[in-house]
Amino acid sequence: MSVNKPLLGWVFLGWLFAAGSLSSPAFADEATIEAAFIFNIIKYTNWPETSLLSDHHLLLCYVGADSPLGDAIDELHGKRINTFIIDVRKTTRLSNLGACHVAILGKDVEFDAFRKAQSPFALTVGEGVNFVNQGGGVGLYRLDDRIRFDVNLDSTKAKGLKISANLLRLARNVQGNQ
Amino acid sequence: MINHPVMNWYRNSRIGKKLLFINAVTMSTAGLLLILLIGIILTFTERYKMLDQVRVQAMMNAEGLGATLVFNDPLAANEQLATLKNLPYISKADLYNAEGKPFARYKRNDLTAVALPNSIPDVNNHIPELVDYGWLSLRYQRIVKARGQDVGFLYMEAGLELLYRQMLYFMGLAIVAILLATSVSLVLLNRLQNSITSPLLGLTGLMGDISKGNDYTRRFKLDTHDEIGELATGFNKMLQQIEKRDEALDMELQERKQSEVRLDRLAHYDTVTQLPNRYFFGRRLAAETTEYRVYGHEFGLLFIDLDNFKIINDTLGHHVGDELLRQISGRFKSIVRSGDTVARLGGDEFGVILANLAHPADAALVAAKVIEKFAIPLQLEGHEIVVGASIGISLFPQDADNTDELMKNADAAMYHAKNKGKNNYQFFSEALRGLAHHRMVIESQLRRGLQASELFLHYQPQFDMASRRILGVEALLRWQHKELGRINPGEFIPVAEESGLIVPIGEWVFRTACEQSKAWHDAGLILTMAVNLSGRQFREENFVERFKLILNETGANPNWMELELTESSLMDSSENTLTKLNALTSLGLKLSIDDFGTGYSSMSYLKRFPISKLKIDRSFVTNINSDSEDQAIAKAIIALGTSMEMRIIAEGIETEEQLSKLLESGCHQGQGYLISPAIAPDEVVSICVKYNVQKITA
Repeated sequence: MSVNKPLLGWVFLGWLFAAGSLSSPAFADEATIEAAFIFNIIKYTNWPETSLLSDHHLLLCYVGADSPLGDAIDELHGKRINTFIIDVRKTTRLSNLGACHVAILGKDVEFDAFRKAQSPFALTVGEGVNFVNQGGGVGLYRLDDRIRFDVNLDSTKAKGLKISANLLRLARNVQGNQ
Repeated sequence: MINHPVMNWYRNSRIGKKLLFINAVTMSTAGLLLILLIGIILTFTERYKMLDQVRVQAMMNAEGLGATLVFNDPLAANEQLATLKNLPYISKADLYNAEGKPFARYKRNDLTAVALPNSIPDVNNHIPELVDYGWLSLRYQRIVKARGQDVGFLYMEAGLELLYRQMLYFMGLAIVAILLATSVSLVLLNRLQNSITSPLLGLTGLMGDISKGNDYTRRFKLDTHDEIGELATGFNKMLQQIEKRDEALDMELQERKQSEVRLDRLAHYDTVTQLPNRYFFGRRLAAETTEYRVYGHEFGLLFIDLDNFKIINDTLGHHVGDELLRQISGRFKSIVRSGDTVARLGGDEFGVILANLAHPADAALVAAKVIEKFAIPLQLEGHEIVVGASIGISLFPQDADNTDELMKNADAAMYHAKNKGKNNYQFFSEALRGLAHHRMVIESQLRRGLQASELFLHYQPQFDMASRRILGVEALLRWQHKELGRINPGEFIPVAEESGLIVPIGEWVFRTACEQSKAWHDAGLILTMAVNLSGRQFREENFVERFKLILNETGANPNWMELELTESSLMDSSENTLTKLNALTSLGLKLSIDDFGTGYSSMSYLKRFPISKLKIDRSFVTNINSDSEDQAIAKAIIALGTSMEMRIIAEGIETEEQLSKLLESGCHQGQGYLISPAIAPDEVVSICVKYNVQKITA
């Protein structure tokens, strides 16, 4: 099985880039790319020991109404990442976010309310340039036909999250002290 | 031998230059080899180091690049690759995604960089790293991972050109340094090696000087104790040896020269008179003939024989004879000119070369002067002695065309002078040439005639003048030549005397006379047999023994044999003469003196020698009736002989008047034509019968 592991990864990446390269000009695929970004960001992020579950599940929560992103995230469910197995949960109610490792905010959800509801260790991911300015962890947005992201280190540090420097280097803006 | 210009230069160079050359070559070779080795080692280690650096860079960048790949951020990837520009050796870095498509690129923007072939990495080979270790470049490829997942490849190239260039630069610097170091050390070496080369140069210089100047007293001063010191010491020792040998050789050469001078003197000069000898004289003659051929200078030759020198030498002793010769030499020297040559040719013979003779009369003048000077008596140990000289003169080229002939002619002329009564000079003439030739013929014929029994004896009776009875005979030699007929004894006996033939002939005469005497005795004819004895014979060492032998062999009675000697032969070496005469008389032989009164007679010898008979010379007999002086001499001889109890015989009696005068004077025996000439043996018998010889019957 260990032989097949990288092969699976390659296949996935193949899909990822094939989609990225083919779909970058098309809006329809933007959500897919964003989902891939989220998947990769998770890779470069370390959660505090206390937050980790014994069954190695990583809870990936989406809050909001149905959206392309929400659909795209479904695809991540059950994927292995590092030592984790992604467990995608969708909800419209902020109260359900208590144990989430990653909290993805749909466009329809008020950030302030979302901030209050989130778990003490959740990496918050939202769309738009202002998401990070409002206190979000990672904000994805579109620039020059490419998906970009900013990171708010103050926010992630406050949650005890460690973001890889390699990720930070690829961020368009990093707020807070590194 | 290699004939390369460099090798030729090397062979002809001085040691100093050779040492410098050797050092320069070895030092620079060693330096260059060292540099090369260091360069190669450095290049290898640097390549490994470079590969390590490339690997480290790849590893360091891989994680970040992995992120760029997963976030599809080629700009960031390019930016990250661009940071490689701080590492100048990395010429190229390409990032490929998992599908093998180029994602980001870095290429060193270096105009001088060598364009490397565009290499396409092996994307399908999923090994973690791949190293291509090339000569021009190092290629490295590794998988890029993002959080443990393979997301692409990083391909890097490091150009080695820069490394090589650095190495070259380094080596260039090192070579310059080596050359600098070599030249500095060569300067030092040049100074230091003077301690080796300068003594060597000094040695070779000294050797050159010595071989030019041959001065072996020189030495090389050097107080080092290395091999050169030993060489110098050896050289000095060798010089010492050479010097010693040189000195020894010089001494030997000097001695040899001195002895050569002595030998030359001996070879060319007579020890008694210090005059040139016959050998030197011959060379002078040859030189004069050459001078004649070149300059036309004629010259004359005087051949001088001292008269009666032998008598003086024998009677007064050799030292007186030598002194006489020396004084005579002085006289010769005072007469001739400085350019003339006087030489002693042997015994009592002298030769004079009259160089550059203007006229033959001049030679006569010199000869006359010699005779004139010789008339002055010489004082020798209290004796006053007069020596005559017989001189023969021959002229060149008038008389001869070579030196041998010239000498022979002068000799012939000298004999002619002697025959003319001594103490005069004679020129050589064509007549003498004939005479000389005649003598030569006679000598050779006489030699042959003796072998061919052409000689025979005739006997002239000796008789008692009162009774006319035959008492004995004198044996006289005759020669009947097979072609020339009878030859006069006066003609061939002098030749026999001169040539020495008289010795064998004399013996033959004695033997024949003995045989005849014996035959007559056996036949009852008792006669005394007188035989003439030549002075030459008398001087022969073993002559007495020879005669004794002949007497024994023939069986003749010595008491009836008589030897007639001349006065001059008796003058020779008195003691020896006496011994010989006594030996002869002890054999029983009788001795008589022939031609008495004509020679230089010292009356004393008559007393000392065992002479039993005197023979008055015919010259006194011939004119005994007309010349009162001759008559007086004859009478004196007769009185002398009678008083000394010797018998007296007169020879050459031809008339009755002479016979009666001699009888009247007291001489009782005679010999001459009046009674009989010399006759053959059988005639003797008949004449004895005629004159009533007393016959003794056995």
